[in-house]
Amino acid sequence: MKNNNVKRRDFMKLLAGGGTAAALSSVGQLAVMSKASAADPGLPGYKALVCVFFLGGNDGFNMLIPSDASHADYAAIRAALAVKKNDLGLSSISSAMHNGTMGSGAANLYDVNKTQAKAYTKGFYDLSSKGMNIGVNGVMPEFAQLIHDNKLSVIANCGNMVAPVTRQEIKDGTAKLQLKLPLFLFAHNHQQRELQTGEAHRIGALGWAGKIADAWQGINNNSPIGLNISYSGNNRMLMGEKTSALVLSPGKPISFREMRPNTDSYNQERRALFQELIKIGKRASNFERLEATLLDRSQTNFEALATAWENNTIDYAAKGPYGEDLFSVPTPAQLSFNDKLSGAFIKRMDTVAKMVDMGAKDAFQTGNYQRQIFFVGVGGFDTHANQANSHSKLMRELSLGLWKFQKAMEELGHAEKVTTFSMSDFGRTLSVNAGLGTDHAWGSNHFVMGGAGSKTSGTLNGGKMFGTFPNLTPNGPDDYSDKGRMIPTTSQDQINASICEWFGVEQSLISELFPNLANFEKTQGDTKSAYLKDLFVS
Amino acid sequence: MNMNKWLPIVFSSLFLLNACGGGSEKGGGVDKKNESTVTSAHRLLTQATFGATEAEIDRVVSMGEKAWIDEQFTKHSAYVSDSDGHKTHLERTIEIAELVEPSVTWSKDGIFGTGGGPIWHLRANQASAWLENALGHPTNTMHGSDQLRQRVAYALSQLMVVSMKDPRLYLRGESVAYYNDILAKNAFGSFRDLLGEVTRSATMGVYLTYQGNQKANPEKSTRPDENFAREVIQLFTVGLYELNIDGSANRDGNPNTYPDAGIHQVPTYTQEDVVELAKVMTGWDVKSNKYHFGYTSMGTGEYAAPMEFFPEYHEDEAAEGGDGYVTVLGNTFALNSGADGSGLDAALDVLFNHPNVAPFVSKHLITNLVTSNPSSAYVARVAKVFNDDGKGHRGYMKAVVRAVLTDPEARDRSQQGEGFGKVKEPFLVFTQLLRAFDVKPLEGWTGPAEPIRGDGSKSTVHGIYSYDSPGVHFGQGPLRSKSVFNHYMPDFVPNERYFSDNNLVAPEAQIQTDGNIINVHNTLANYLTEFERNKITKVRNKTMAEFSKRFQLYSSHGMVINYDRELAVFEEALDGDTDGDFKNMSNALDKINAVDALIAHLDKKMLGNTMSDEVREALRYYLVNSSNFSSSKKFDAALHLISDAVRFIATSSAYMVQQ
Repeated sequence: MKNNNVKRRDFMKLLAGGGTAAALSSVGQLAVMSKASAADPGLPGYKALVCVFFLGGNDGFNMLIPSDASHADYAAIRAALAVKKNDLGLSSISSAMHNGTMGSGAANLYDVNKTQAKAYTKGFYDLSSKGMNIGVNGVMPEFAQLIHDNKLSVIANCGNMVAPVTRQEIKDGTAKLQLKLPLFLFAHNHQQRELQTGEAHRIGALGWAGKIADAWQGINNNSPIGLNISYSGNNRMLMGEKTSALVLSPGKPISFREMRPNTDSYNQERRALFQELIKIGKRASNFERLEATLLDRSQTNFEALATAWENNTIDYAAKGPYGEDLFSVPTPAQLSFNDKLSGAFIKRMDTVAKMVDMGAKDAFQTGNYQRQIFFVGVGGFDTHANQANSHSKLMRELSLGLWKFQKAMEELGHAEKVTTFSMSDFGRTLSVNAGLGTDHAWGSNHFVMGGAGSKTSGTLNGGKMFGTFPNLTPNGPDDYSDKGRMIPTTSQDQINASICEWFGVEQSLISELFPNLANFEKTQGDTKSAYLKDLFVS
Repeated sequence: MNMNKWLPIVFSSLFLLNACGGGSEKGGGVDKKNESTVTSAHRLLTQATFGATEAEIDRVVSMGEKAWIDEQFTKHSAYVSDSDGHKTHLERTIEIAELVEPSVTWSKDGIFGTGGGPIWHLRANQASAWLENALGHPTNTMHGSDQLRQRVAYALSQLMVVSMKDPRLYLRGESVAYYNDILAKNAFGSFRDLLGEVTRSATMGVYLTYQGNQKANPEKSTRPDENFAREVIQLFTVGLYELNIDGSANRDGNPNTYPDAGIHQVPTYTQEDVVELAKVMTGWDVKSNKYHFGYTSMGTGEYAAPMEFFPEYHEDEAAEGGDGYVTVLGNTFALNSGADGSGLDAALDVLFNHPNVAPFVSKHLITNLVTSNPSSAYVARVAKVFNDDGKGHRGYMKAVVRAVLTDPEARDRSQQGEGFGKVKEPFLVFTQLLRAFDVKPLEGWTGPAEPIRGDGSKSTVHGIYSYDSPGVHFGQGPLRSKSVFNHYMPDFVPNERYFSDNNLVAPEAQIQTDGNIINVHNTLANYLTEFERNKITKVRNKTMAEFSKRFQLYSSHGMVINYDRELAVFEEALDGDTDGDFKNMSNALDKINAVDALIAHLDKKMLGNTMSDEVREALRYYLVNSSNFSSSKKFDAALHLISDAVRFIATSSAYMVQQ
């Protein structure tokens, strides 16, 4: 009791007459104290990564479809879910898309009687003019256009991997014996975890982005708005040993009820009590201390965020492809779909765009704001049943959300500072189940987006396909067994390593983040030889 | 802030605080003799119910904890008689729908949605029925009287997860209500029965997409769906890797020796096991499906019922030239085995008899009810009871639940280490607060306009709780998790030194995100201040009917609490009477007396007399001195003081954890 006299008096002083000024200075101290005072790593310029994580396992082989003769193999195994070999002719709508006059309803090239399930298999946008024997699903015209405009590249047949592995090694058991397979392959939670920790060979605790934050402690001048920000709950990827992510909901940050700083004495007295109770909680037992720490963090972070947010409004001149306000969600009538889009992805990308803008402009007034990693999870990808009805909506919103975000970045002048990339638990079986859905598989197709399409040095090498498109035949050379579970040929770690290098992560740290990278070196001992060559323009 | 206004009070109370002898004694009004038993009783009620009440704490203290647990096992349930007024979750969901929208024909012959009514409202009605079982009901007191059964059902709903958030169940409130009945009915029964009923339920069939699943069809190039086959092994029964009886990784092949040296985990199943079990999970469809096998649409089948087996759609391996036998986890059986020829019971027996099930299920219950990081010995003690209740029964849930709650580690403070306890789920914080403050349904909320009646009139609803958007306010809701992986992961280690250094989990902390904490805080603060009967009727001067009518079916404001008891405790200490005039409110000495009595009362009811001296002093200081309670209307000032006292305890770290 006696030991706490000093702290108690501070509280009393505050309640008794310190008022607003005292309350505010106490917040400042709290923020500084909780972050200690690590040295800022002093990276040049501002850059952001946006990880779009398809939760549940995205069917990348109905996002990108073979457009050459091998389409026949694909169509045979994909049966009712096969996208038809039919080039819908992207060039006829390209300029309208850019101008926001794309036309709605039946004017959509993919329209089939306003039915999204039928639109899903109507056809694709052929990329052969870009030197790729693939097409983009018809419900994704903006995605195809981004490739055409050299602002997006795709990576074929990639996934969570320990080491390169062949069908023969899987069949004869040597893959298992030599520990070449990811742990608990095909299980959602552990595949997500291994991708997010960069450790396919074990159940690691810390995320690779969390480890970057640990190495870069002090980043952003010790601002409470640190390196890692999630708009999809607490995620392994952003979890560090010494650092943890800011976990937010999309949209305008709210305030603790009746405890806003800088307001009347009623609020200040409550606020003083609340903070005193937090201080006491931090001296209490383990769970209580944890809870007090979480309350403290939430209040500190939200106050830092709310002020910056309210002082920064953005009115985009750019419109969406249908002429809608940039981050509005087009209606089913515009899309010629029978269902509404969820809008959750578009809403998150809207918020990320604003956060990037605030970060790049240092709206948080840190004096040196340098790096952000955003985690944007999108749910609904575990399409075990009736996939044509649901995956069509997910792919449509993905295409629109990426387009809108890229337009926003270009308008705000941040396009070359941001790299957006996808990850997912795994791909899905090429074979179709009785519910006209697909089951858990392995390799899938992913994307990386960024830059302004200019191919200037240090920006994304857009408009390309990296990796090797697999042979989709069941029981074929790339099948895990006989259901069309593709064995990936590019590791997600190779993609992530290349992106981290662009982001400014030291090569020695990249080797630590992705310990299995060494298994993919083209020249033994040369870590960089495992990166995706030329993903960014040198 | 006006210093002059504050100074005299500050100094007088400082003097008084010091005069208390350093504040190390418990506040006034606490029966010191019963202190430890109050704490222990409160702990039990936090573990085993949806929230302690003052009366129930006193009852546990007087009858003893073991006797209370025994009594819970004999409590009347909805599953013994069809005519005793104790309604099942499904019956009550339908009854509520009929009360709220009387002109709608909700179902005919077990098929819902045939009458063209707003079938999606059943979702809100199911939430109302769930709340009755969690919170208790003022007139139909049978509902919610079986607290332990309902609490265990809630724990099971986080093991064998279905979710109303799934687009296929979103319109099937009746199906989710039926599913909750399966959990509650079997909560004290056999785990094998539970597993069987869950697997045959239309709810799980729809959620994990095996309703309508069928054998390989070479013409359509389709094969059986693997969804349920994988998750029933991984999430509901066996888990990913071999376990010892204490829940640690079994690496030496013997589940009874532990811990085992090494770091690797031995997977329990392979992809081939999943492919094989997927074949078993074919041929099931909802009853009375009007059109073709597996067809799903409104008004075409029974979703609040077990599914029916159709042998013609069941895998026989004819297409692949197989022998009609499958091998699952090393056990081979015929796809058409069993009385119904579905092979299902043979498959479920394999899962049920796997040595992992005892530690897997036991640890789930322990961590859900009692403590996040149980000792190896605690898990092993409970798991042994799962394997054999002493009378040769395996998976007898009553014995397992009893073992969880009566274990020395759950009951005896001296057996509980410094890591004992857990973070509370945000939604349980809410139910606990509502129960502590005598929650009642908000009387007279407005039902929706009934399109069928066509005259635009709306019913006025009485006796029914309403709360349909827990996800928005708490980041979770019962039977409404984001995925089959529940609201949070069992292995979540928060970023806090003690936890990360010792590799201790705090699963519920995963949803205590920066954003969710603020939502939860504001929801609680709002409820505890604005949805209190005295505030509405005596401060806002509204009748309950006036206040209630603006809230509708989907409103999240269908409950009201009251501080009657707190007002009485406070005034008794303030004035020596309870006539409601609070006449001594401006007398500093009397007010301090009253604040002390209030804090002591709330300490018992909300924290089981565990409030620390530091918290007591801070609260006391604020309640005595803050200008927030200076209204010249003495009743208003007293009520405001009480609601702030409740609010700041409720939103403190002490209340957010269970120890």
